[in-house]
Amino acid sequence: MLRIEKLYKKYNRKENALDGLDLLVDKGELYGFVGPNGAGKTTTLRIITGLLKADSGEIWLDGQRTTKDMKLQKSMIGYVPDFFGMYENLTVMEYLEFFAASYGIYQKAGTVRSYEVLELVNLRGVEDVFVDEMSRGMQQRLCLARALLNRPRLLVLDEPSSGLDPRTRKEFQLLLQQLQKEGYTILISSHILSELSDMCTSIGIINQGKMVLQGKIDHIMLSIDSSNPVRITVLNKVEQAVRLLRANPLVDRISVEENKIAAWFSGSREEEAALLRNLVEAGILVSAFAREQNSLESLFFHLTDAAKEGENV
Amino acid sequence: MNWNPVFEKEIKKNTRSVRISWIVFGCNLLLGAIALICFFGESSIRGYMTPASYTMPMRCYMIMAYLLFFLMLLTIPLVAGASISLEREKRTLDLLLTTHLNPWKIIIGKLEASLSIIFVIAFSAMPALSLITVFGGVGLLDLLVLVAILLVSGVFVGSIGIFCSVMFKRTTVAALMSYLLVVIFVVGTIAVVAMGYYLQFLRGGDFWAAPDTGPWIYLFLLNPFLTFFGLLSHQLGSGRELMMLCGLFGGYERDWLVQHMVPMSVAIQLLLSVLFLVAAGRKLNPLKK
Ligand SMILES: Nc1ncnc2c1ncn2[C@@H]1O[C@H](COP(=O)(O)OP(=O)(O)OP(=O)(O)O)[C@@H](O)[C@H]1O
Ligand SMILES: [Mg+2]
Repeated sequence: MLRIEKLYKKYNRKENALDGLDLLVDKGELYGFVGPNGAGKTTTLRIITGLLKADSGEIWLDGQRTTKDMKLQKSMIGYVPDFFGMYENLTVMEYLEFFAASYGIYQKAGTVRSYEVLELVNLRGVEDVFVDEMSRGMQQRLCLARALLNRPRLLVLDEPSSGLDPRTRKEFQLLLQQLQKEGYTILISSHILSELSDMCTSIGIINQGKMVLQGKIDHIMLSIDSSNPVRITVLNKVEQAVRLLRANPLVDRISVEENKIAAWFSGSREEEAALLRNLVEAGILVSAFAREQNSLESLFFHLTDAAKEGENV
Repeated sequence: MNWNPVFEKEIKKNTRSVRISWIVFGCNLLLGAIALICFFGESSIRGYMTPASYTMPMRCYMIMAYLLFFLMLLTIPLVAGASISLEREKRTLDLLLTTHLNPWKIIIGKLEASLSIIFVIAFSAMPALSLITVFGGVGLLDLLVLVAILLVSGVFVGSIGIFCSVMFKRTTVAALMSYLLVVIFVVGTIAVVAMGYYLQFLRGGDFWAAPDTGPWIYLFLLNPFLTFFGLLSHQLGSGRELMMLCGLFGGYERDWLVQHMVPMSVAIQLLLSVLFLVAAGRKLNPLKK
């Protein structure tokens, strides 16, 4: 459905915002596009939607090369940006009819289509509400409805759940899954992996303008090896704990976040237990100590961290 | 026929907008006040029945016409200057650009919406103007012609506003810059010509030779106020008033451009408008940078 090859984009600063990004979304997929802040997600999505010009790279949509043909590209895409874009003094219906007309669906046809998309996103009975007076959850749905007006083949959403409460967020996820079942291909970005991992069928992890990992989520889960960290939470003497861990030859890397330590430890179960004993005997209050289960999350941190370290060297 | 969606949306928004309502209300207040002053001022001096007061409605009409023009100069830069930058601030511009609207359509819609303000003000001023029309001499048709004349300058001023609105990200800056540009065109051109005249006058020399500003006079071609003055003089006077005005600054009897100043200035200002709009359209297109 969507194929991107070697996308480069540089803003006026030195480093590339996109550094040869490749991306592949198959038809009917719910594709999660994850990366830390500033990784280049929004930049990529804006290029896909024709709001930004790439320095170089190729884009194919539905088998057609659309790199040069923005009009074609736009007609196949519905875009929900990372902001709402509401007008003052317009009702929901007027808002939708306006965008329908902007897509070339005029008058009666526009009204009909507006009702259809409201139905699609489960928004009913709000036709005469002013758009800037709706709750964020409803505005988000309206945004989605707007993006569906021109029957796009690919739906592009940029961090759609930022600023929504957990319940609304969940409802929105269900809505997206429902749309996927109805045959829409969806590309959704987020900087929170856990939010995507339980609904997406595929995932791509971007870091510093490069795709560091992408594929079907089942494949990725399988391929995650057991090189997961041991997660330790201590209540005192964090530095001493870190020193102790560093001194251990089986620990090859440590990351510390306040009193939470992750140690990449390549020992057996017994050696793990010995490590815990060491910590306790040193007078450190350990409140949690466990090998992390295989998780996408840790892989994500591992990938995005590793790339960062590579940059710094 | 389908309207430009942007235009249609703006009209819907404007009819509910407090800002626009205040602008129209303020303009009407001013027009009404002037109409009343004209009406009672003149009639109390001359008395109701004197035949001489037949020129009064014409004079009132003229004052109203100029007032409408200045109201237009005040409102259009504000409305047009805010048009695109407000969309940018509300972050709806990106949404517009992802639809099938091309930048050009967006800009034309915005221009139409800005110009519609003239109609709203002119026609909501009907009650005030009807005070004049009861005396005869000026009718509805004249008013329509007046609106058409206002539109010529309105397009020019509106294009300046939209150009600034695309160039400057902040709405306040964009509106201020549109005012500045309009002032340069309206006051600046006259100031430069007057300055040239004054300098020549100072240099003196031959007492009998009148100062002549030469080609500087062509700056008048860029002045929307003088265009309005010239066009209006077709309605109220002989149509040669602008040329006579130029005559004050030098001998232009054989100068073709000066002799045809009104149509030429209309043409030149419309051309400049197109240039401003094209520049705005290019700047708005995210893929042309
Ligand atoms: N308009 C711009 N001008 C200059 N630099 C920019 C611009 N937009 C983004 N950048 C830079 O490009 C890089 C990628 O930004 P981008 O917004 O694509 O990241 P992101 O993955 O969407 O991040 P976030 O999770 O914060 O939304 C960042 O380093 C950012 O500072
Ligand atoms: Mg972003």
